[in-house]
Amino acid sequence: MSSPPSAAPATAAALLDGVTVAYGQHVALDDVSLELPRSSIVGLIGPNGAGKTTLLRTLLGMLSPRSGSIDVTVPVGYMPQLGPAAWDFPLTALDVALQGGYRRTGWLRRPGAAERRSAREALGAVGLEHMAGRQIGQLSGGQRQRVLLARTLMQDASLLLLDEPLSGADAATEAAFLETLRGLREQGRTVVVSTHDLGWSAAHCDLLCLLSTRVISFGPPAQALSAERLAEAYGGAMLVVGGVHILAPEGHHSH
Amino acid sequence: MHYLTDPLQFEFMRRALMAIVLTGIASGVLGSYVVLRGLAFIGDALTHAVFPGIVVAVALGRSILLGALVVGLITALGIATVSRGRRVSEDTAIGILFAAMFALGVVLVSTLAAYQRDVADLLFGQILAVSQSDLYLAAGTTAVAVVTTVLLNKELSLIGFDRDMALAMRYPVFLLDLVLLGLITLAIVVSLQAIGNILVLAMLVTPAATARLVTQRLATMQLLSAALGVAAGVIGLYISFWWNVASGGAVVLTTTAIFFVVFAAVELGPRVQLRARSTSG
Repeated sequence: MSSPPSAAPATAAALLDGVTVAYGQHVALDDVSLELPRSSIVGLIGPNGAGKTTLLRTLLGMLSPRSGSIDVTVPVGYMPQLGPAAWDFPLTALDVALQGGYRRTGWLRRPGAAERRSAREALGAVGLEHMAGRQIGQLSGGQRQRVLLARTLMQDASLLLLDEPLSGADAATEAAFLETLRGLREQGRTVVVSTHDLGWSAAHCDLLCLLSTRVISFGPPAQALSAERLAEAYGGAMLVVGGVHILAPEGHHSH
Repeated sequence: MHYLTDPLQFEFMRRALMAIVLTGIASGVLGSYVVLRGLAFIGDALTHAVFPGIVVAVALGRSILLGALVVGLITALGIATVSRGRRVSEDTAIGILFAAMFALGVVLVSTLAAYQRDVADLLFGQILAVSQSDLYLAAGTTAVAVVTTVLLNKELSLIGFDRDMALAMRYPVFLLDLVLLGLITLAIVVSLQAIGNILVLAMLVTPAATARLVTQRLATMQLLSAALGVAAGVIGLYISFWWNVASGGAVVLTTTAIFFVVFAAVELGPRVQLRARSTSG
Protein backbone atom coordinates (compact mmCIF):
# COMPACT_ATOMS: atom_id res chain seq x y z
CA MET A 1 0.00 0.00 0.00
CA SER A 2 2.47 2.59 1.18
CA SER A 3 5.60 2.80 -0.93
CA PRO A 4 5.84 2.10 -4.65
CA PRO A 5 8.15 -0.73 -5.61
CA SER A 6 11.73 0.15 -6.39
CA ALA A 7 11.84 1.39 -9.94
CA ALA A 8 13.50 -0.94 -12.41
CA PRO A 9 11.42 -0.22 -15.47
CA ALA A 10 13.51 -2.23 -17.83
CA THR A 11 12.68 -5.58 -16.22
CA ALA A 12 9.38 -7.36 -16.46
CA ALA A 13 7.36 -8.24 -13.34
CA ALA A 14 7.22 -11.84 -14.52
CA LEU A 15 8.53 -13.91 -17.39
CA LEU A 16 7.17 -17.26 -18.48
CA ASP A 17 9.04 -19.31 -21.03
CA GLY A 18 7.52 -22.43 -22.55
CA VAL A 19 5.52 -23.26 -19.43
CA THR A 20 3.48 -26.46 -19.49
CA VAL A 21 1.30 -27.43 -16.52
CA ALA A 22 -0.65 -30.67 -16.25
CA TYR A 23 -2.97 -32.30 -13.75
CA GLY A 24 -2.13 -35.96 -14.25
CA GLN A 25 -2.96 -36.67 -17.91
CA HIS A 26 -4.81 -33.41 -18.44
CA VAL A 27 -2.65 -30.61 -19.85
CA ALA A 28 -4.03 -27.32 -18.53
CA LEU A 29 -1.35 -25.00 -19.92
CA ASP A 30 0.64 -25.79 -23.02
CA ASP A 31 3.91 -24.07 -23.88
CA VAL A 32 2.94 -20.67 -22.47
CA SER A 33 5.43 -17.84 -22.95
CA LEU A 34 4.55 -14.40 -21.61
CA GLU A 35 6.24 -11.26 -20.47
CA LEU A 36 4.23 -9.22 -17.97
CA PRO A 37 5.60 -5.66 -18.02
CA ARG A 38 5.57 -3.32 -15.05
CA SER A 39 3.03 -0.51 -14.81
CA SER A 40 0.36 -2.35 -16.72
CA ILE A 41 -3.08 -3.84 -16.46
CA VAL A 42 -3.16 -7.19 -18.21
CA GLY A 43 -6.45 -8.91 -19.02
CA LEU A 44 -6.50 -12.68 -19.03
CA ILE A 45 -9.37 -13.97 -21.14
CA GLY A 46 -10.50 -17.23 -22.60
CA PRO A 47 -13.31 -19.78 -22.33
CA ASN A 48 -14.03 -21.87 -19.22
CA GLY A 49 -11.28 -24.40 -18.73
CA ALA A 50 -8.82 -22.33 -20.77
CA GLY A 51 -6.32 -22.43 -17.90
CA LYS A 52 -6.76 -18.90 -16.56
CA THR A 53 -6.82 -19.92 -12.89
CA THR A 54 -4.05 -22.45 -13.54
CA LEU A 55 -1.87 -19.70 -14.99
CA LEU A 56 -2.46 -17.49 -11.94
CA ARG A 57 -1.70 -20.36 -9.56
CA THR A 58 1.46 -21.16 -11.47
CA LEU A 59 2.60 -17.55 -11.15
CA LEU A 60 1.91 -17.80 -7.40
CA GLY A 61 4.09 -20.88 -7.14
CA MET A 62 1.14 -23.05 -6.02
CA LEU A 63 1.61 -25.29 -9.05
CA SER A 64 4.92 -26.36 -10.54
CA PRO A 65 5.20 -26.59 -14.30
CA ARG A 66 6.01 -29.88 -15.97
CA SER A 67 8.41 -28.00 -18.23
CA GLY A 68 9.46 -24.46 -18.96
CA SER A 69 10.69 -21.73 -16.68
CA ILE A 70 9.05 -19.00 -14.62
CA ASP A 71 10.79 -15.94 -13.39
CA VAL A 72 8.74 -13.78 -11.04
CA THR A 73 10.89 -10.82 -10.07
CA VAL A 74 8.56 -9.02 -7.66
CA PRO A 75 6.34 -9.90 -4.65
CA VAL A 76 3.03 -11.43 -5.75
CA GLY A 77 -0.46 -10.79 -4.38
CA TYR A 78 -3.63 -12.74 -5.08
CA MET A 79 -7.36 -12.33 -5.07
CA PRO A 80 -9.12 -15.70 -5.33
CA GLN A 81 -12.60 -16.17 -6.72
CA LEU A 82 -15.45 -15.16 -4.47
CA GLY A 83 -17.24 -18.50 -4.35
CA PRO A 84 -15.22 -20.91 -2.21
CA ALA A 85 -14.71 -18.70 0.88
CA ALA A 86 -16.77 -19.44 4.01
CA TRP A 87 -18.73 -16.21 4.24
CA ASP A 88 -20.51 -17.24 7.44
CA PHE A 89 -17.17 -17.22 9.30
CA PRO A 90 -17.30 -14.86 12.31
CA LEU A 91 -14.88 -12.31 10.86
CA THR A 92 -15.38 -8.62 10.10
CA ALA A 93 -14.45 -6.82 6.89
CA LEU A 94 -11.47 -5.38 8.77
CA ASP A 95 -10.37 -8.87 9.89
CA VAL A 96 -10.41 -10.06 6.28
CA ALA A 97 -8.49 -7.01 5.02
CA LEU A 98 -5.90 -7.65 7.76
CA GLN A 99 -5.33 -11.18 6.45
CA GLY A 100 -3.43 -9.71 3.50
CA GLY A 101 -0.72 -8.55 5.90
CA TYR A 102 -0.45 -11.79 7.92
CA ARG A 103 2.81 -12.82 6.29
CA ARG A 104 4.33 -9.51 7.30
CA THR A 105 3.00 -9.87 10.83
CA GLY A 106 4.62 -13.28 11.06
CA TRP A 107 3.90 -16.41 13.09
CA LEU A 108 2.58 -16.29 16.66
CA ARG A 109 1.95 -12.54 16.53
CA ARG A 110 -1.10 -10.40 16.13
CA PRO A 111 -1.41 -7.49 13.70
CA GLY A 112 -0.42 -4.23 15.40
CA ALA A 113 -1.79 -0.70 15.22
CA ALA A 114 0.11 0.11 12.00
CA GLU A 115 -1.36 -2.95 10.26
CA ARG A 116 -4.85 -2.00 11.40
CA ARG A 117 -4.36 1.48 10.06
CA SER A 118 -3.24 0.15 6.65
CA ALA A 119 -6.19 -2.25 6.58
CA ARG A 120 -8.59 0.65 7.22
CA GLU A 121 -6.88 2.60 4.44
CA ALA A 122 -7.23 -0.35 2.09
CA LEU A 123 -10.94 -0.58 2.91
CA GLY A 124 -11.16 3.17 2.36
CA ALA A 125 -9.50 2.82 -1.04
CA VAL A 126 -12.32 0.52 -2.17
CA GLY A 127 -14.99 2.69 -0.56
CA LEU A 128 -15.79 0.39 2.36
CA GLU A 129 -14.30 2.12 5.39
CA HIS A 130 -17.74 2.47 6.97
CA MET A 131 -18.21 -1.32 6.72
CA ALA A 132 -15.01 -2.23 8.61
CA GLY A 133 -16.85 -3.65 11.62
CA ARG A 134 -19.48 -5.53 9.63
CA GLN A 135 -19.49 -9.33 9.59
CA ILE A 136 -18.45 -10.40 6.10
CA GLY A 137 -21.54 -12.51 5.46
CA GLN A 138 -23.72 -9.43 5.88
CA LEU A 139 -22.03 -7.66 2.96
CA SER A 140 -23.44 -7.68 -0.57
CA GLY A 141 -21.67 -9.57 -3.35
CA GLY A 142 -20.01 -6.42 -4.69
CA GLN A 143 -18.90 -5.40 -1.21
CA ARG A 144 -17.39 -8.85 -0.65
CA GLN A 145 -15.42 -8.45 -3.88
CA ARG A 146 -14.14 -5.10 -2.67
CA VAL A 147 -13.13 -6.52 0.73
CA LEU A 148 -11.10 -9.21 -1.04
CA LEU A 149 -9.50 -6.51 -3.21
CA ALA A 150 -8.63 -4.54 -0.04
CA ARG A 151 -7.03 -7.70 1.36
CA THR A 152 -4.98 -8.06 -1.84
CA LEU A 153 -3.88 -4.41 -1.51
CA MET A 154 -2.75 -5.24 2.05
CA GLN A 155 -0.29 -7.75 0.59
CA ASP A 156 1.63 -4.76 -0.81
CA ALA A 157 2.61 -6.80 -3.85
CA SER A 158 3.97 -5.47 -7.13
CA LEU A 159 2.34 -8.19 -9.22
CA LEU A 160 -1.34 -8.57 -8.36
CA LEU A 161 -3.23 -11.56 -9.71
CA LEU A 162 -7.01 -11.19 -9.59
CA ASP A 163 -9.09 -14.24 -10.46
CA GLU A 164 -12.42 -13.16 -11.94
CA PRO A 165 -12.69 -10.24 -9.51
CA LEU A 166 -15.61 -8.62 -11.31
CA SER A 167 -17.94 -11.48 -12.14
CA GLY A 168 -21.42 -10.26 -11.29
CA ALA A 169 -20.13 -6.96 -9.91
CA ASP A 170 -22.40 -3.95 -9.48
CA ALA A 171 -21.56 -0.55 -10.97
CA ALA A 172 -20.12 0.88 -7.74
CA THR A 173 -17.81 -2.12 -7.36
CA GLU A 174 -16.69 -1.93 -10.98
CA ALA A 175 -15.88 1.76 -10.59
CA ALA A 176 -13.97 1.18 -7.35
CA PHE A 177 -11.98 -1.60 -9.00
CA LEU A 178 -11.07 0.46 -12.01
CA GLU A 179 -9.92 3.40 -9.93
CA THR A 180 -7.84 1.13 -7.70
CA LEU A 181 -6.30 -0.73 -10.64
CA ARG A 182 -5.31 2.51 -12.34
CA GLY A 183 -3.76 3.75 -9.10
CA LEU A 184 -1.72 0.54 -8.86
CA ARG A 185 -0.54 0.96 -12.44
CA GLU A 186 0.58 4.52 -11.68
CA GLN A 187 2.65 3.17 -8.80
CA GLY A 188 4.48 0.95 -11.27
CA ARG A 189 2.69 -2.25 -10.31
CA THR A 190 1.38 -4.95 -12.60
CA VAL A 191 -2.19 -6.17 -12.33
CA VAL A 192 -3.38 -9.34 -14.05
CA VAL A 193 -7.17 -9.68 -14.20
CA SER A 194 -8.79 -12.86 -15.40
CA THR A 195 -12.26 -12.21 -16.73
CA HIS A 196 -15.04 -13.39 -19.00
CA ASP A 197 -15.92 -9.83 -19.88
CA LEU A 198 -14.37 -9.10 -23.27
CA GLY A 199 -15.89 -5.61 -23.42
CA TRP A 200 -14.49 -4.60 -20.06
CA SER A 201 -11.03 -5.97 -20.78
CA ALA A 202 -10.87 -4.37 -24.24
CA ALA A 203 -11.83 -1.02 -22.74
CA HIS A 204 -9.59 -0.97 -19.68
CA CYS A 205 -6.59 -3.26 -20.11
CA ASP A 206 -3.26 -2.27 -21.63
CA LEU A 207 -2.56 -5.78 -22.77
CA LEU A 208 -4.73 -8.83 -23.28
CA CYS A 209 -3.75 -12.45 -23.16
CA LEU A 210 -6.23 -14.66 -24.99
CA LEU A 211 -5.78 -18.11 -23.54
CA SER A 212 -7.09 -21.50 -24.55
CA THR A 213 -4.59 -23.88 -22.96
CA ARG A 214 -2.11 -22.22 -25.31
CA VAL A 215 -1.59 -18.48 -25.71
CA ILE A 216 -3.75 -17.65 -28.74
CA SER A 217 -2.75 -14.02 -28.76
CA PHE A 218 -1.02 -11.51 -26.53
CA GLY A 219 -0.84 -7.78 -27.07
CA PRO A 220 -2.85 -4.56 -27.07
CA PRO A 221 -6.62 -5.24 -27.14
CA ALA A 222 -7.21 -4.31 -30.78
CA GLN A 223 -4.50 -6.68 -31.84
CA ALA A 224 -5.22 -9.50 -29.41
CA LEU A 225 -8.96 -9.61 -30.06
CA SER A 226 -9.05 -10.07 -33.82
CA ALA A 227 -12.03 -12.07 -35.07
CA GLU A 228 -9.85 -14.99 -36.16
CA ARG A 229 -8.10 -15.18 -32.79
CA LEU A 230 -11.38 -15.05 -30.89
CA ALA A 231 -12.82 -17.77 -33.07
CA GLU A 232 -9.71 -19.84 -32.44
CA ALA A 233 -9.98 -19.41 -28.68
CA TYR A 234 -13.70 -19.86 -28.26
CA GLY A 235 -14.35 -22.18 -31.13
CA GLY A 236 -18.07 -21.45 -31.03
CA ALA A 237 -20.22 -19.24 -33.20
CA MET A 238 -19.36 -15.61 -33.18
CA LEU A 239 -20.98 -12.57 -34.68
CA VAL A 240 -19.19 -9.42 -35.62
CA VAL A 241 -21.59 -6.50 -35.56
CA GLY A 242 -20.18 -3.12 -36.44
CA GLY A 243 -16.70 -4.06 -35.29
CA VAL A 244 -17.98 -5.49 -31.99
CA HIS A 245 -17.46 -9.17 -31.37
CA ILE A 246 -20.42 -10.96 -29.91
CA LEU A 247 -19.85 -14.42 -28.66
CA ALA A 248 -22.58 -16.97 -28.81
CA PRO A 249 -20.70 -20.07 -27.69
CA GLU A 250 -22.48 -23.01 -26.15
CA GLY A 251 -21.52 -23.93 -22.63
CA HIS A 252 -20.21 -20.51 -21.79
CA HIS A 253 -21.76 -19.39 -18.54
CA SER A 254 -22.12 -15.68 -18.18
CA HIS A 255 -22.06 -14.40 -14.62
CA MET B 1 -26.36 -22.31 49.93
CA HIS B 2 -25.57 -25.75 51.22
CA TYR B 3 -26.79 -27.19 47.93
CA LEU B 4 -23.75 -25.57 46.36
CA THR B 5 -21.24 -26.03 49.16
CA ASP B 6 -22.10 -29.50 50.50
CA PRO B 7 -20.62 -31.42 47.57
CA LEU B 8 -17.37 -29.50 47.92
CA GLN B 9 -16.61 -31.29 51.20
CA PHE B 10 -15.71 -34.28 49.14
CA GLU B 11 -12.27 -34.54 47.61
CA PHE B 12 -13.64 -36.49 44.62
CA MET B 13 -16.19 -33.74 43.91
CA ARG B 14 -13.55 -31.03 44.03
CA ARG B 15 -11.44 -33.00 41.56
CA ALA B 16 -14.46 -33.69 39.39
CA LEU B 17 -15.29 -29.99 39.26
CA MET B 18 -11.78 -29.13 38.19
CA ALA B 19 -11.89 -31.85 35.54
CA ILE B 20 -15.19 -30.56 34.16
CA VAL B 21 -13.92 -26.97 34.11
CA LEU B 22 -10.88 -28.08 32.07
CA THR B 23 -13.20 -30.03 29.76
CA GLY B 24 -15.38 -26.97 29.23
CA ILE B 25 -12.42 -24.75 28.41
CA ALA B 26 -10.57 -27.12 26.05
CA SER B 27 -13.61 -28.32 24.13
CA GLY B 28 -15.17 -24.85 24.07
CA VAL B 29 -12.14 -23.21 22.44
CA LEU B 30 -11.46 -26.04 19.96
CA GLY B 31 -15.17 -26.66 19.43
CA SER B 32 -15.38 -23.25 17.76
CA TYR B 33 -13.27 -24.59 14.90
CA VAL B 34 -15.18 -27.87 14.86
CA VAL B 35 -18.43 -25.94 14.32
CA LEU B 36 -17.05 -23.30 11.93
CA ARG B 37 -15.25 -25.76 9.70
CA GLY B 38 -17.92 -28.44 9.81
CA LEU B 39 -15.66 -30.97 11.48
CA ALA B 40 -18.33 -32.63 13.64
CA PHE B 41 -17.98 -35.91 11.76
CA ILE B 42 -14.17 -35.83 12.05
CA GLY B 43 -14.53 -35.00 15.75
CA ASP B 44 -16.84 -37.97 16.19
CA ALA B 45 -14.36 -40.15 14.34
CA LEU B 46 -11.47 -39.03 16.54
CA THR B 47 -13.41 -39.71 19.74
CA HIS B 48 -14.15 -43.26 18.62
CA ALA B 49 -10.71 -43.82 17.21
CA VAL B 50 -9.00 -43.20 20.54
CA PHE B 51 -10.90 -46.11 22.09
CA PRO B 52 -8.25 -48.81 21.42
CA GLY B 53 -5.64 -46.48 22.89
CA ILE B 54 -7.67 -46.30 26.06
CA VAL B 55 -8.11 -50.07 26.21
CA VAL B 56 -4.40 -50.70 25.79
CA ALA B 57 -3.58 -48.07 28.40
CA VAL B 58 -5.95 -49.68 30.91
CA ALA B 59 -4.48 -53.12 30.19
CA LEU B 60 -0.95 -51.84 30.72
CA GLY B 61 -1.97 -49.88 33.79
CA ARG B 62 -0.85 -46.64 32.16
CA SER B 63 -2.65 -43.32 31.99
CA ILE B 64 -5.66 -43.57 29.70
CA LEU B 65 -5.15 -39.96 28.68
CA LEU B 66 -1.71 -40.84 27.38
CA GLY B 67 -3.05 -43.87 25.48
CA ALA B 68 -5.83 -41.82 23.93
CA LEU B 69 -3.44 -39.02 23.03
CA VAL B 70 -1.03 -41.25 21.15
CA VAL B 71 -3.71 -43.11 19.19
CA GLY B 72 -5.69 -39.93 18.56
CA LEU B 73 -2.73 -38.13 17.05
CA ILE B 74 -1.93 -41.13 14.84
CA THR B 75 -5.55 -41.19 13.65
CA ALA B 76 -5.52 -37.45 12.98
CA LEU B 77 -2.45 -37.97 10.80
CA GLY B 78 -4.16 -40.88 9.04
CA ILE B 79 -7.32 -38.89 8.29
CA ALA B 80 -5.37 -35.88 7.04
CA THR B 81 -3.17 -38.04 4.83
CA VAL B 82 -5.85 -40.27 3.32
CA SER B 83 -8.19 -37.38 2.61
CA ARG B 84 -5.39 -35.44 0.97
CA GLY B 85 -5.37 -37.70 -2.07
CA ARG B 86 -8.37 -37.66 -4.38
CA ARG B 87 -8.75 -41.43 -4.60
CA VAL B 88 -11.00 -41.66 -1.53
CA SER B 89 -13.36 -38.90 -0.39
CA GLU B 90 -12.77 -37.47 3.05
CA ASP B 91 -16.05 -38.76 4.50
CA THR B 92 -15.29 -42.24 3.24
CA ALA B 93 -11.73 -42.15 4.57
CA ILE B 94 -12.98 -41.13 7.99
CA GLY B 95 -15.74 -43.73 7.96
CA ILE B 96 -13.27 -46.47 7.19
CA LEU B 97 -10.67 -45.39 9.74
CA PHE B 98 -12.87 -44.63 12.70
CA ALA B 99 -14.98 -47.74 12.43
CA ALA B 100 -11.81 -49.83 12.13
CA MET B 101 -10.21 -48.20 15.15
CA PHE B 102 -13.32 -48.62 17.28
CA ALA B 103 -13.59 -52.26 16.17
CA LEU B 104 -9.98 -52.76 17.20
CA GLY B 105 -10.90 -51.42 20.63
CA VAL B 106 -13.86 -53.80 20.87
CA VAL B 107 -11.67 -56.77 19.93
CA LEU B 108 -9.06 -55.77 22.50
CA VAL B 109 -11.67 -55.43 25.23
CA SER B 110 -13.07 -58.89 24.50
CA THR B 111 -9.62 -60.39 25.04
CA LEU B 112 -9.21 -58.58 28.34
CA ALA B 113 -12.24 -59.74 30.32
CA ALA B 114 -10.87 -58.39 33.58
CA TYR B 115 -10.93 -54.81 32.31
CA GLN B 116 -14.40 -54.73 30.88
CA ARG B 117 -15.83 -52.76 33.78
CA ASP B 118 -13.16 -50.06 33.61
CA VAL B 119 -13.64 -49.72 29.90
CA ALA B 120 -17.40 -49.34 30.27
CA ASP B 121 -16.68 -46.42 32.60
CA LEU B 122 -14.64 -44.83 29.86
CA LEU B 123 -17.36 -45.17 27.27
CA PHE B 124 -19.83 -43.35 29.51
CA GLY B 125 -17.45 -41.32 31.69
CA GLN B 126 -16.50 -41.76 35.30
CA ILE B 127 -15.73 -38.32 36.50
CA LEU B 128 -15.74 -39.28 40.18
CA ALA B 129 -12.74 -41.54 39.59
CA VAL B 130 -10.49 -38.74 38.35
CA SER B 131 -7.15 -39.00 40.15
CA GLN B 132 -4.78 -36.21 41.05
CA SER B 133 -2.34 -37.23 38.33
CA ASP B 134 -5.16 -37.39 35.75
CA LEU B 135 -5.98 -33.85 36.71
CA TYR B 136 -2.41 -32.65 36.24
CA LEU B 137 -2.24 -34.28 32.82
CA ALA B 138 -5.63 -32.80 31.86
CA ALA B 139 -4.53 -29.34 33.02
CA GLY B 140 -1.29 -29.55 31.04
CA THR B 141 -3.12 -30.79 27.94
CA THR B 142 -5.72 -28.03 28.20
CA ALA B 143 -3.01 -25.40 28.53
CA VAL B 144 -1.16 -26.70 25.47
CA ALA B 145 -4.38 -26.92 23.41
CA VAL B 146 -5.65 -23.45 24.31
CA VAL B 147 -2.32 -21.62 24.08
CA THR B 148 -1.48 -23.21 20.72
CA THR B 149 -4.92 -22.37 19.36
CA VAL B 150 -4.66 -18.75 20.45
CA LEU B 151 -1.16 -18.43 18.97
CA LEU B 152 -2.27 -19.91 15.63
CA ASN B 153 -5.70 -18.25 15.56
CA LYS B 154 -4.93 -15.92 12.68
CA GLU B 155 -3.59 -18.69 10.44
CA LEU B 156 -6.31 -21.19 11.43
CA SER B 157 -9.05 -18.64 10.81
CA LEU B 158 -7.56 -17.66 7.44
CA ILE B 159 -7.56 -21.32 6.36
CA GLY B 160 -11.09 -21.78 7.66
CA PHE B 161 -12.38 -18.73 5.84
CA ASP B 162 -10.42 -18.92 2.58
CA ARG B 163 -8.23 -21.94 2.01
CA ASP B 164 -7.26 -20.80 -1.50
CA MET B 165 -5.84 -17.57 -0.15
CA ALA B 166 -3.89 -19.40 2.57
CA LEU B 167 -2.35 -21.62 -0.11
CA ALA B 168 -1.60 -18.62 -2.32
CA MET B 169 0.14 -16.96 0.64
CA ARG B 170 2.28 -20.09 0.82
CA TYR B 171 1.13 -21.20 4.26
CA PRO B 172 1.75 -24.88 5.06
CA VAL B 173 -1.98 -25.59 4.97
CA PHE B 174 -1.74 -29.37 5.24
CA LEU B 175 0.49 -29.10 8.29
CA LEU B 176 -1.83 -26.56 9.90
CA ASP B 177 -4.84 -28.81 9.21
CA LEU B 178 -2.97 -31.59 10.93
CA VAL B 179 -2.15 -29.34 13.89
CA LEU B 180 -5.85 -28.43 14.18
CA LEU B 181 -6.87 -32.09 14.20
CA GLY B 182 -4.17 -32.69 16.82
CA LEU B 183 -5.51 -29.86 18.96
CA ILE B 184 -9.05 -31.24 18.66
CA THR B 185 -7.67 -34.59 19.74
CA LEU B 186 -6.16 -32.93 22.82
CA ALA B 187 -9.55 -31.42 23.67
CA ILE B 188 -11.17 -34.83 23.26
CA VAL B 189 -8.60 -36.47 25.49
CA VAL B 190 -9.18 -33.87 28.22
CA SER B 191 -12.92 -34.51 28.06
CA LEU B 192 -12.77 -38.31 27.94
CA GLN B 193 -12.74 -39.09 31.63
CA ALA B 194 -15.30 -36.47 32.56
CA ILE B 195 -17.82 -37.05 29.80
CA GLY B 196 -17.03 -40.46 28.37
CA ASN B 197 -16.05 -41.48 24.89
CA ILE B 198 -19.54 -41.56 23.40
CA LEU B 199 -20.68 -38.12 24.57
CA VAL B 200 -17.50 -36.09 24.07
CA LEU B 201 -18.71 -34.83 20.70
CA ALA B 202 -21.53 -32.91 22.38
CA MET B 203 -19.00 -30.85 24.35
CA LEU B 204 -17.11 -30.05 21.14
CA VAL B 205 -20.18 -29.02 19.18
CA THR B 206 -23.00 -27.73 21.41
CA PRO B 207 -21.36 -24.91 23.42
CA ALA B 208 -19.64 -23.58 20.28
CA ALA B 209 -22.86 -23.77 18.27
CA THR B 210 -24.63 -21.88 21.08
CA ALA B 211 -21.93 -19.20 21.10
CA ARG B 212 -22.13 -18.80 17.31
CA LEU B 213 -25.81 -17.88 17.64
CA VAL B 214 -25.01 -14.74 19.60
CA THR B 215 -21.68 -13.41 18.29
CA GLN B 216 -20.07 -12.47 14.99
CA ARG B 217 -16.49 -12.39 16.33
CA LEU B 218 -14.19 -15.39 16.45
CA ALA B 219 -12.42 -14.52 19.70
CA THR B 220 -15.72 -13.77 21.42
CA MET B 221 -17.14 -17.03 20.15
CA GLN B 222 -14.19 -18.98 21.56
CA LEU B 223 -14.43 -17.26 24.96
CA LEU B 224 -18.18 -17.61 25.17
CA SER B 225 -18.06 -21.21 24.03
CA ALA B 226 -15.55 -22.03 26.78
CA ALA B 227 -17.67 -20.18 29.36
CA LEU B 228 -20.80 -22.05 28.28
CA GLY B 229 -18.95 -25.36 28.39
CA VAL B 230 -17.72 -24.64 31.93
CA ALA B 231 -21.17 -23.48 33.08
CA ALA B 232 -22.92 -26.52 31.62
CA GLY B 233 -20.25 -28.77 33.14
CA VAL B 234 -20.60 -27.37 36.63
CA ILE B 235 -24.41 -27.31 36.55
CA GLY B 236 -24.50 -30.82 35.13
CA LEU B 237 -22.14 -32.09 37.78
CA TYR B 238 -24.32 -30.69 40.60
CA ILE B 239 -27.39 -32.25 39.00
CA SER B 240 -25.50 -35.51 38.83
CA PHE B 241 -24.53 -35.23 42.53
CA TRP B 242 -27.95 -34.35 43.94
CA TRP B 243 -30.08 -36.53 41.68
CA ASN B 244 -27.57 -39.34 41.47
CA VAL B 245 -27.54 -39.59 37.69
CA ALA B 246 -24.60 -40.23 35.33
CA SER B 247 -22.41 -37.13 35.18
CA GLY B 248 -21.62 -37.28 31.46
CA GLY B 249 -25.28 -37.47 30.50
CA ALA B 250 -26.25 -34.72 32.94
CA VAL B 251 -23.58 -32.36 31.57
CA VAL B 252 -24.50 -33.01 27.94
CA LEU B 253 -28.22 -32.55 28.59
CA THR B 254 -27.46 -29.28 30.39
CA THR B 255 -25.45 -27.90 27.48
CA THR B 256 -28.20 -29.03 25.10
CA ALA B 257 -30.84 -27.27 27.22
CA ILE B 258 -28.77 -24.06 27.15
CA PHE B 259 -28.50 -24.34 23.37
CA PHE B 260 -32.27 -24.59 22.92
CA VAL B 261 -32.97 -21.70 25.30
CA VAL B 262 -30.51 -19.46 23.41
CA PHE B 263 -31.80 -20.70 20.06
CA ALA B 264 -35.38 -19.86 21.04
CA ALA B 265 -34.31 -16.45 22.38
CA VAL B 266 -32.44 -15.60 19.18
CA GLU B 267 -35.29 -16.81 16.98
CA LEU B 268 -37.99 -15.03 18.96
CA GLY B 269 -35.89 -12.09 20.10
CA PRO B 270 -36.16 -9.86 17.02
CA ARG B 271 -39.90 -10.45 16.79
CA VAL B 272 -40.40 -9.56 20.45
CA GLN B 273 -38.24 -6.43 20.08
CA LEU B 274 -40.08 -5.45 16.94
CA ARG B 275 -43.42 -5.75 18.65
CA ALA B 276 -42.18 -3.74 21.63
CA ARG B 277 -40.93 -1.03 19.31
CA SER B 278 -44.10 -0.91 17.30
CA THR B 279 -46.31 -0.64 20.40
CA SER B 280 -44.11 2.02 22.02
CA GLY B 281 -43.77 4.09 18.87
